[in-house]
Amino acid sequence: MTDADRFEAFIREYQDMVFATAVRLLGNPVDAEDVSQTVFLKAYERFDEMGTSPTVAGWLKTVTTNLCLNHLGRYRSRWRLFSELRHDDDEAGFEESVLDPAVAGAALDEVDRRRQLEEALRRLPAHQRIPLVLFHFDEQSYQQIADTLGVSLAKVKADIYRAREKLRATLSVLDPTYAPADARGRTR
Amino acid sequence: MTMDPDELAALIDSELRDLPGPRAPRSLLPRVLAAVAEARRPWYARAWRTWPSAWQAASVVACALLLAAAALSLPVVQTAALHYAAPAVAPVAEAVQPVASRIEAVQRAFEVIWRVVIGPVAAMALVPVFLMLAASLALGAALRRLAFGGMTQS
Repeated sequence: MTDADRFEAFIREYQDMVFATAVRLLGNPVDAEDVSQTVFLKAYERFDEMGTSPTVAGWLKTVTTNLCLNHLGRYRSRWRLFSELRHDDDEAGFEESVLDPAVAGAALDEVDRRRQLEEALRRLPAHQRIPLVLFHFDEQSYQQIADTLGVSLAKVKADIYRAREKLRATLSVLDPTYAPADARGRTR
Repeated sequence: MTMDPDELAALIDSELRDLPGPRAPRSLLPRVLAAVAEARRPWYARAWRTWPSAWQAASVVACALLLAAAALSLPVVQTAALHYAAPAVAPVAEAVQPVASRIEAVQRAFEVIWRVVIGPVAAMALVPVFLMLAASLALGAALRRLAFGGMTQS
C-alpha cells in the first residue's frame, strides 16, 4: 500500500467524525467542508508521525474544533453584536421556524425525529449552538467553554440553558411527552 | 412552562448523544486528495500567492529589476532600431507627416482650452468631490466599527 493509499484510507476512516464536529459547530455544511479539508491537509503534513497513533482521533477533533472557532472568530465581532441585539422575544417560535410544517405534530419515525433535532441544533444561533456543542459533544466544562470563547461563565450557562430550552421545545412539538409536566397538564 | 435545569440538561444530553453523526459529503474526499496533490508539488510550480514570502518578495524584486533594465535600455534599443530601420520606414514617415501635423495642431488647441477654460473650473470642482469622498470614508469606517468591532462582551 502506497502512502497515497494509506492517506486515502485515513481520510475515509475519519472524514465523518471531522465533518460532524465541524458542521455542528459551524451550523453550515459548506464551511464545514472547507474546514474539514484544512484539517486533513494539516494531518497530511504530520501523517508520517501520527498516521497510526492511537491519539489521532483526539488530535483531529481538537484541530477541527480550533479551526472552527478560528473560522467563527473572524466574524466574532459581528456575532457578538447580533447576539446582544437579539432579544428572547425574537426567539419565540424557534421550533416552528425550524420544523417542516408537514411533520409538526405528525407521528414521526425515529429517523425523522433525529433529523429534525439535528436540523434544530444547526439552526440555533451561533452564540448558543457553539457552547452547547462544546458541552455535550466535546464534554468540555462550563468554565473551559467560557475560557475558550472568552466570555463570562454566566453567559455560557445562560446560552446553553436557552439552547436546551429551544431543543426541548422542538422535541415537544415532535412528541408532546417532551413538554414539561405542568404544560402537559394544561393541555389535557 | 420550564423544566428543572438538571432534568433538562440530562434530557438534551441523552437526545444529542443518540443523534447519529452527520456523514461527510462525497465531495470531501476528492477535494482533500486534490489539495494534497497540490501541496505535494514544488513551491515554484504552485500559484504565486502560495509561494513562500521570501520567494514572493524576491520575484517582485526580480520583476522590478527586469522592468528597470528594460526602461534603461529602451533609448539604446530605440536608437539602434531607428538606425537600421530608417531607410525602410522613410516612405511611410513621409506619408504620415501631414496627419501627424494635424494631430499636433489639435493637441495644442486642446491644451490651450484646458489651461484657460476647463482647468480652473475642474480644480474648483475637485474640492467638493474630495470632501464628499472623505465624508464617505469616515462614515464607512464608523459603520464598519459599529458592525464588526468595538463591541464589548458581557
